[in-house]
Amino acid sequence: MLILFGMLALWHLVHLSGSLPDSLLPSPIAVGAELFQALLTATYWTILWETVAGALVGLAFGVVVGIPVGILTGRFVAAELSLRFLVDFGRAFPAIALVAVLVLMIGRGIELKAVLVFVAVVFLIILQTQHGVRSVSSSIVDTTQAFQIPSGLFVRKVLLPSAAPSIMAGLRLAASVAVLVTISVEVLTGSPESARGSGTLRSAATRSSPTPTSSLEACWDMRST
Amino acid sequence: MTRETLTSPVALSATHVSKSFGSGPDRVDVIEDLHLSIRSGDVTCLVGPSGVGKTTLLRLLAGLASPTSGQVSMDGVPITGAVEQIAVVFQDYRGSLMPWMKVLQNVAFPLEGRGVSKSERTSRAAEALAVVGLSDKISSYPWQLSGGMQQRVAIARALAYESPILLMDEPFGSLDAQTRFELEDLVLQLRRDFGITIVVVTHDIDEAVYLGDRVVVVGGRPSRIVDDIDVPLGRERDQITTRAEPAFIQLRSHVLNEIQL
Ligand SMILES: Nc1ncnc2c1ncn2[C@@H]1O[C@H](COP(=O)(O)OP(=O)(O)OP(=O)(O)O)[C@@H](O)[C@H]1O
Ligand SMILES: [Mg+2]
Repeated sequence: MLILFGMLALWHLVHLSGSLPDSLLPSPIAVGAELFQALLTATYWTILWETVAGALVGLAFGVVVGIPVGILTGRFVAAELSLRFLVDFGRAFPAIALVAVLVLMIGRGIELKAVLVFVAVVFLIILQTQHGVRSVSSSIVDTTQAFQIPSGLFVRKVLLPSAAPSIMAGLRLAASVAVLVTISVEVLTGSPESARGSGTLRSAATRSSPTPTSSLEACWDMRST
Repeated sequence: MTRETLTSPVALSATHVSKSFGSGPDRVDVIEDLHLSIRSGDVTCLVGPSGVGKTTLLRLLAGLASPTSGQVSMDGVPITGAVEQIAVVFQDYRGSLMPWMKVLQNVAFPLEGRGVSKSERTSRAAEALAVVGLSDKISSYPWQLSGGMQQRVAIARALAYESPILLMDEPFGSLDAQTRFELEDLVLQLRRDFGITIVVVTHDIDEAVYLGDRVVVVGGRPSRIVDDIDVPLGRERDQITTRAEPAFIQLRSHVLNEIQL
């Protein structure tokens, strides 16, 4: 908090000193005012929502596919072996590289973001789930065997709870990857604003991003143009 | 508590049982041509040095591992997997309780797998916890309990399962002497009150002689049964007087000799 205020004060001082032209470094007060105005407009929020929705849909599919696949491949060696190549390949594959192809196939809407986010997070979730499932202690597995715990109950009450910390770590990571991928998609394709035929690539991308820094940048763009 | 009883005088038997791990040059023969019959209603102690294959033998008896050759049968029927009539308390009791379940849920969990109704699960688990003296800990988590208490929870879990046979693998290995004595007496109480057939694996000779109606000495490599002794101490035991009896002292030196051979 202190650091933040310190930075703002420093920024203001540099601005006041006049060592940088106004178009390069506007005063923090002006930027704040622009940001506040942007927050009041409906477009800002629709654009923000489109970004978030794309990330959320992709993330949701990633979870729905990734966790069951992770459990299966974590438990059964055969399943792991048959999927290992795909998972190793997919984990290293830069999802963003698919943008060009996918734009041609499914356009630039929310589907594009969802698909790319899915590709970017699903392998991560699979690997984290596998890891969690394998960390169940052998004594617990022995115990559930000795007491003949049926497999459905075993997955629900033993495997998932003990893999939960690892899965949650995967989800946290996946969430930030999802946001990053969505923003990158918007930067690269110029959607959603350019899809409506207005705005430049850069301002569209930055304005639709959900982080305050980019919103600041957007205001900055508005001022300098 | 009601529990089904065994019909035959022999609860568990192993005939010509061998077990090896691995294959080719890495093959280890752990047990070879072992014969053993566990009598119903007895406390049988399997005693032997570390690494001799006691855990392996117990897993074979529990149906958790299958013999490379030979057969294990319960009540005269061959077993090929885990069965309802056998409950197990594992060597690593800390690791065998689920840390995300409270004590009561841990004890009730195996019953859920059997399709017992929720209210009955809870009452049976509470009853079993009362037997082991943990009624006041039912809503704690296992990791909030001392080692001795955790082991009581593991015993209660086996008890709530209401199996006529209970197998225990070095159940009191890492506990202090005082707690050990209490839990040994708890085992004797289970046999007395519920007529459970109990097999205790241990490397502690005193414990084997104190608990056992019968002490089976396992040794050699691959291991086999070195000796099989009926303990002449009667069924009522007491930590102080029993351990001072000449028969006790004589038997423990006898077993110690065999293990050191
Ligand atoms: N799953 C396995 N794969 C390969 N070797 C095994 C396996 N389980 C046990 N062994 C081997 O079998 C031998 C006996 O092991 P076991 O655990 O039965 O001994 P133990 O008598 O219970 O020892 P301790 O008193 O230390 O618990 C050891 O040499 C061990 O390496
Ligand atoms: Mg062992």
